[in-house]
Amino acid sequence: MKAALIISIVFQLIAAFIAIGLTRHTKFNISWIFISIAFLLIAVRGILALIPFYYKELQSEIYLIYRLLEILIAILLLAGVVFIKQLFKSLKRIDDIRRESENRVLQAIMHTEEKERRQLAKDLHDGIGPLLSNIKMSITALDMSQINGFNKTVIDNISSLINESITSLKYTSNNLSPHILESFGLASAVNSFIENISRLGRIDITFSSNIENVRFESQIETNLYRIICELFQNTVKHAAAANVSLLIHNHENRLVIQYFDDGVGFEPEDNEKLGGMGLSNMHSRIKALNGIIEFKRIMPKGMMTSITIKTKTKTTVHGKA
Amino acid sequence: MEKLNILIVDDHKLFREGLKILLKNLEDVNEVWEAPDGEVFLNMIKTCHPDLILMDIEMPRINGIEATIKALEMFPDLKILALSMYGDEEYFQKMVDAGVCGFLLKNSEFSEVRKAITTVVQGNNYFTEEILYRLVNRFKTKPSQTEPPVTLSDRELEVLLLICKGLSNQEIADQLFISKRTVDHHRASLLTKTNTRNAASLVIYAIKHKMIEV
Repeated sequence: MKAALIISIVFQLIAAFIAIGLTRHTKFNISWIFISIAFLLIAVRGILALIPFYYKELQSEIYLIYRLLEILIAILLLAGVVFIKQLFKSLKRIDDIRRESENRVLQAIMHTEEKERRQLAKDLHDGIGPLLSNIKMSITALDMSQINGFNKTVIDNISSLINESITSLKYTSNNLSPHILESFGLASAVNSFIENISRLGRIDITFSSNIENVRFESQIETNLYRIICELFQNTVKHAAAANVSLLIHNHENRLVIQYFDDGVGFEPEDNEKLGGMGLSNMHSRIKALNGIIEFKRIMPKGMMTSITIKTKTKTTVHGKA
Repeated sequence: MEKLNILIVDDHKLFREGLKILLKNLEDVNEVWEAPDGEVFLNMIKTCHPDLILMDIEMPRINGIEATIKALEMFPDLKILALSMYGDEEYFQKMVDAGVCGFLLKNSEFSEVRKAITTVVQGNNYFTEEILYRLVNRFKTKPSQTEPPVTLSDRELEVLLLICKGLSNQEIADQLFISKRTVDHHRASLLTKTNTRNAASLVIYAIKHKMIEV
């Protein structure tokens, strides 16, 4: 009996010292201090229980102190448990701050990337573009009736090289950052993108929106534009769809995008297969906008992607050109 | 015909100079002036009187759209031909609304530049086919969101078609065997009915409502 009591006191003391040692790590959190003291008092209570084995005459006084200690321990534990709520709250706050700073870093990376892309696109389009155009005008201004034989072949070759350069410069600059997005906003840029895809003639696209004259923050416009392009590219590459329908609706600072295709579809959970579809990229873009993106299979065939974000409308005036 | 004075408004120095060399070589061109942006251009036209202006859109300080509007406020008879890297509908629409007589892409062949200059100087409109084609396609795929077209008489439709082909009132009169005054009357009535400002807007109206094919 005595030996069992001594063993339990040793364990209680170890627990109490560990608890006190941890106090510093909880940044002296009040609930942990209460719990540590309670642990210590439990050990003290154990020691008190040991005294009557040696001094029988003190039994009645010890009993009283023992009971008082029990009440105190109960109160301390209760207080500790009540205050532990705060501990959880502060843990959650730390978690929120971490998530927010992650988000901010993500936004900063995307913002810098977009800025660089925009600058590069502009330098290409406005700097080199006019030079190539001028070369084309100059070559076509040559009096070809004076030129024949090998020289004519060379000039014809130069002409086709220039035409090819102009086309690929336009394509590259537009892929890097479509100027129309910056100047005229999301609806115009999406329209222009759809126009290019429609030229391939494989998919019938319906696009409707109520944001023709609405401008949003540049980060929103860029991220949504990139996502929409990615959705179209996925449809073209993987879905073998015949029809696509895209709806962009803005109402009371909520922007909803719904994208349907009637292709083969995919399982949104099947991460392995979806590696090449840029889904994680879309997720991080939407995360940066604090929005929601969902992929759903629709029956009998096809996929639906829906995006919802909160927006602040910047202006309703079009373009800076 | 008198020799032409042409003013190039463009912020790209090398492009301006290159184009100037080509234009100066043309027989019917007298002087080629240059302005690096809309602001300099607006000051220049107070003293020199160009027969034709080749106007870029994206420029520092005052862009081509604003410069066109301001210039036409001062001199409504100026002939301005947009010469742009951008062939998007939005730019096109804005320049046409601003009052240009034509729209040309910078990557055009020189023969097209010449053709556009001649057409505009003669008082007609010139729109590069690439843009008209794009416009027609755009409105083909777009669900009709505009109000239904106004009702036009057969004669008005004929005149509209010829305006879209870039013919002047006299040429239309000759082709339809009617007097130029009648054509003037039809043109005015077309502008009123369609609520458009000029022939260029009228062409866009016709395309939007699929009244003509390019």
